Amino acid sequence: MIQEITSQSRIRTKVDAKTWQESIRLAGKILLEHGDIEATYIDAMIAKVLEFGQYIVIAPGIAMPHARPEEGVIHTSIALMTLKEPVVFGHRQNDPVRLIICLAAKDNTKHLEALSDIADIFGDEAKLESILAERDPKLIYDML
Amino acid sequence: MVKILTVCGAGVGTSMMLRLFAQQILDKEGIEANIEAADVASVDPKSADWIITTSDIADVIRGADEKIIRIDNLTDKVGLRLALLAKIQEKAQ
Repeated sequence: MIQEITSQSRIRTKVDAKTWQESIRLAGKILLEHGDIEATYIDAMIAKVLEFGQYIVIAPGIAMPHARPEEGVIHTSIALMTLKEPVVFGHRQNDPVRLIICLAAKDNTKHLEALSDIADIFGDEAKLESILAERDPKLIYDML
Repeated sequence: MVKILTVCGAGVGTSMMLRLFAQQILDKEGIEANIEAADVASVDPKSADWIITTSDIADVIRGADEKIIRIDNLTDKVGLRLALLAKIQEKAQ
């Protein structure tokens, strides 16, 4: 379950970010503060986008930045960050982004259930809207 | 047995998600498939019958257009199911 690899303190709401790079840096910083990643991982997430495009915008309004396990993951973990104002990432269909799901995967297996949850939770439009409207990380955690 | 590759930039996030959903869909249809997730740098288009990926990554993979199923909303399992089954039917004809 997604709750097993995130926590209330890894959820931030209504964060002020102007660009896609700033959004990824701020979400990455949550994982960094928890000791889940090394600082290099944040640069690696941005480098992936510069190299391969905005494929991390996985659905309308949702970006899931991540890099490879060996690029600085310490623990498998997820940070969730909702944005105060939507941010344009430059994706053909899914812009603008309102929710960042920052993923650090230590290996190829432990986060799989969480990925499945992500689709179920955030693919539910009503649930996504209530998460985006919520200010209290604890209540968002309970919704997961 | 069909061989499917799901591809993304890192091989652990988007492609894993696609692998998971494609497996669920094909299991339900009773279609045997070997599905693997890969990162775009190491992908060999020739090694698969189909490749499922997002539009940005699809543009980077060369010489495999007819094999590629493009999915741009990963929370839309219904859309993935339709695209996947259409491709399978196309092959059966």
